[in-house]
Amino acid sequence: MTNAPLLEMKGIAKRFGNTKALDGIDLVLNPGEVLGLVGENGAGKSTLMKILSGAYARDEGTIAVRGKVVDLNTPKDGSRAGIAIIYQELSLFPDFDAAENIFAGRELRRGRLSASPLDHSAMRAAASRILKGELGVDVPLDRPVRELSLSHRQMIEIAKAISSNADIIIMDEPTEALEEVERKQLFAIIKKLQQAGKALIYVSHRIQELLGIVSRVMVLRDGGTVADLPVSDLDVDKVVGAMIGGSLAKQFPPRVPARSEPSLDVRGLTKRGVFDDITFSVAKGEILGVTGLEGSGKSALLRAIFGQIPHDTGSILIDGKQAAISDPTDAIRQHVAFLPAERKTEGIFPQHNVGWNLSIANLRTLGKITLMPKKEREIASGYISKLGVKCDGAAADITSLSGGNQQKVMLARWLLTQPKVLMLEEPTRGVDVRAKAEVYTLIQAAAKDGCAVIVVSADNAELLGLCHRVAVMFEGRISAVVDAATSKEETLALHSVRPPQGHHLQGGTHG
Amino acid sequence: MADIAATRLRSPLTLARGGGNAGVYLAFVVLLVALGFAAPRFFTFGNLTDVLRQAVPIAVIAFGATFVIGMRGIDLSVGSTLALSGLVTANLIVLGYPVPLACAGGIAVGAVIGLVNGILITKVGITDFIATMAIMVISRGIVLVYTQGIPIVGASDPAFRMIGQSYVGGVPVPVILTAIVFAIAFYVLYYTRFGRFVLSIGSNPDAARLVGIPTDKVKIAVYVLVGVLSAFAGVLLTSRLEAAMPEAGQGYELDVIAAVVIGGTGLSGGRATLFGTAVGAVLMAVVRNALNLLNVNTFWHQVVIGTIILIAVAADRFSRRQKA
Repeated sequence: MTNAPLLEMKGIAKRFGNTKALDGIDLVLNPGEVLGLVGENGAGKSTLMKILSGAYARDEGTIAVRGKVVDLNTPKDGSRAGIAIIYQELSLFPDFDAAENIFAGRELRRGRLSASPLDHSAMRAAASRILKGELGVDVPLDRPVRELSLSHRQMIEIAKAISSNADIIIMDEPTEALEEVERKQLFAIIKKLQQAGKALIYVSHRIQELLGIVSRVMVLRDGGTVADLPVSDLDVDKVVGAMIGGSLAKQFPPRVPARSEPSLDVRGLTKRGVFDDITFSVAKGEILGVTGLEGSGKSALLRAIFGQIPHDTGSILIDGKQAAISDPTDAIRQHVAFLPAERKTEGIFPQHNVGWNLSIANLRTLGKITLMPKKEREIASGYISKLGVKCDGAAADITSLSGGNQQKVMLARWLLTQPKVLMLEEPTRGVDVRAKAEVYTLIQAAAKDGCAVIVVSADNAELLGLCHRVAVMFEGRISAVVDAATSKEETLALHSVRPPQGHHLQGGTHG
Repeated sequence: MADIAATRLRSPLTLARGGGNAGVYLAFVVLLVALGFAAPRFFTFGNLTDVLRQAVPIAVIAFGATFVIGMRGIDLSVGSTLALSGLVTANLIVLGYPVPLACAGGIAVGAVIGLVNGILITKVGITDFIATMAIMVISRGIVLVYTQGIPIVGASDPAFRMIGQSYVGGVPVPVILTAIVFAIAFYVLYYTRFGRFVLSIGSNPDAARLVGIPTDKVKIAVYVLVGVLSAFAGVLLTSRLEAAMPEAGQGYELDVIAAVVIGGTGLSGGRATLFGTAVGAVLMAVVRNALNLLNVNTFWHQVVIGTIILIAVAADRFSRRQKA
């Protein structure tokens, strides 16, 4: 028994509907070990971690902690088994102070009864002992955590894990929002935890950084393990190569050459702390891909061009004319369209039907003053047949459609505004393979009609197959612009994790 | 031909237009039939017009509240607005100002209150519930300070009295005016861009902004609309009583919400049925009238109305779950 690993997961499988999220994953973790867990978005990392923390129930497989099989069906089971997870969006109570958060749900009391008064001074002393003594950080103890920096809040999360006697600590993208100094501090703490015999699972997109911290790396792809190697055998290129693997053959329509006249010109666009001095242009009929890690500024850039978030400096030109865009209403008036990634929260109007959802961004087409239901049906039916939306006509509830068909309605909504600039964020997210190919065809048809198209996607294969050029963003800057037809996924992945190299910086001129 | 007629007939009542609460419509009919037997006096023309006239103030305000609630908002200040607007109108009449000016003055007060509500909610960022509750208390306070709790009487200009007390073809003028308000509200909510904007904001506020809807402007406009309609109800009431009561409209905010909810508009926004609201407002007046006719102690009225709200909402929930 003493030789049993701290954690052993065997044959873990999980399905969501018809998709296999995880298939036969084995994971072993020993005390004092830091395991790096990497993979592309959707590879199954977070599903695996959620199973381990008890947030999801597994379909198959066994989990053993210190050689004893455990059932992790609720988050409470997870913490009872000594597993703590620190999510990217920290889960503290913003109005409580550090001590109250560390002991939330396990408050110390001045007596044995559950009605006994709370022992605030004991909790504060214990909190201080862990934070100052064990972790060696100076976190204010008497302020509500909403007033503390992200780094301090993270330290409180770690202290909470320690105080609950967790031996297995999972960190999900812990450095995503930290400054350089704070990151160093975090790495020092990870070392300390490691020396104290805790085991850590470290999930991150920042491969370079990760390789400096962990002792072993496990790579997931499409729900399976494709590599599990000691860090000494690995480098960034090998890890990225394993993450991407042999790319799936997808159905991309043949590229149509772009025209020469530029349609959208973005010059020196800056939003401090988000993206910096972005310059590029997109020609009529051109499809420009934009990639980069979460937080690289790619999504914020589109939203700034669309006027959803304000920018600090820089200008946007459409057809050579300065476009004053201060909110989405302006953008639509200037024939700029934006299809956001989160269809459910930012796209559909769930109580309404297909016709309503399709026409809402350009109601003037339904009549100058009085909206004509007949006109709405005509327009909606036109797009339904043109785009091949599978539904019971314009009056069908939008929520009765599949993800792919909802996405086609969203696309139709923006085509109806006769866009000159069509920006799409994750246009095939939550869309099945067949519908994906149809969406690609529609995007290309829009480009052929003279739209300047920008596609942001986490799927590099998609960008290379669909776009003319792909711009890679790294920490708020365009680090490279590559020709899609002649580039490889590895190139994009590498530029996404590396700071810009000098000669790539001229970046964004079209051609 | 038949097909087109069918869609036309269906359209105001379809789900897209807010659905309505079939259970309530049915209960309403059952109640009317039962009343016919229990209290034969109910179905006299005089009593029926009386019921409708009693439903007027709540109905007029509830049409506006249907917009607010469809937008996933709430307005608690309607009763106080009614009182303050009625007070201003009554005062202007007593002072001898021309009738149109007096009415316009009262309605302008309602518009200003709505504007303040809208600005507090959108620009200052105060939750609708809190903002309109504060305005409710302040407006009522102003009424009490000005009147010292004593009614303003003597608003008996003959032309002014006509608004609230005369009949056209046997139908009280306030009822006719309410029907006109209903028709306009119906057109605006279901057949204009503004109406779609309102329901889109209620359905998904983030998506509404991303399809270019000027959400702040629309919200302010909706609160102004409710303010104006509350003021209009205040003018009608003042004209009928020839006086402004300091406690006028007290508790109306809840009656108005009850009418909207009984009609089938959910507080979750996105869907709204004006037809249902009209039924809800009349239903509440019918119940009160019936309880009077049946000599039920007035203290029981509240219990009955509350029970109806619960049954209506439960029936709505149930039918929606069946559909899903």
